Amino acid sequence: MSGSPLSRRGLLLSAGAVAAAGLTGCDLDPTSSAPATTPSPDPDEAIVTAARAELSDLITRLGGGSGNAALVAVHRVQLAALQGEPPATASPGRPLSRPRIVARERRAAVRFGTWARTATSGDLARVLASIAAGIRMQPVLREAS
Amino acid sequence: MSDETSLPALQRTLAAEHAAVYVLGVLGGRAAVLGESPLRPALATAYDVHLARRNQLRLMVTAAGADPDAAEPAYDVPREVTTPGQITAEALRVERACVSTYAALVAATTGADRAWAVDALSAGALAELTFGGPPLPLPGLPAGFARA
Repeated sequence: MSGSPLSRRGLLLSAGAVAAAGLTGCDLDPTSSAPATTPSPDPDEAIVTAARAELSDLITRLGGGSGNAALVAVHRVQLAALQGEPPATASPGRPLSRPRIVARERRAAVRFGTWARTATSGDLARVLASIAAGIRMQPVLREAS
Repeated sequence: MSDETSLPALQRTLAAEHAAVYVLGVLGGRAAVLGESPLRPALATAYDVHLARRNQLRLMVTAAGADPDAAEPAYDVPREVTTPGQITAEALRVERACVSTYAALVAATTGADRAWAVDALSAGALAELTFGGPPLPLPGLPAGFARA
């Protein structure tokens, strides 16, 4: 009954295609006669960038509050699934109140659902949809509903 | 919205829902003899949800130009699954299997079919909680897919 194995490599190929193909050896070699290849733009680049930023922002803002460690850990795993680098420091500002956390988490779940619907890459869509579901599963939203 | 690419995934998801409907029906019957318990309405709700999804998947397969695969005559439900704890664990196994299948369906579809699969994945993840599953960071993906 289970689905086919998730291709992490497939996600990497989609999410990192632009970065990996940004420069080729021929671009840097003036003696090369081969024409420079123009990498085709990754149609999901904007989604991946926004999704990583969303999770990084949540981690940063939640990191300063007591009792948020489990939720921060969840978002770190989700960010890792998108090959994102975790933010270095927690927010120096005031910790988010519980209602603000709930509102931010709900907004994030909606955004990830929207990105999952619109991503060109099916593998990326699967990860985004899983993140949306994972956010909705967390106690902070279950207790608030 | 369906095409040749998504049809196998739709049929696999339909097969998962055929199994879920059968198993949840059996579990509901076994829970009925246990007396009043929150497990009974939870199983009844889950049965109704999976039945509706199975019917929707039949329509989606038909819309894709194929005949929906039929259910197997029966599915294996271990006889020893009789206590509330065992029934709950089996129901959780069913929900998890369906969530994984919906994650695969998300990857294989586009447009309205994918939107439906995204919603089903989220609803299935929440159903896992009903049957005692822990909140996961990445429901439907293999364990250890990503580690922070």
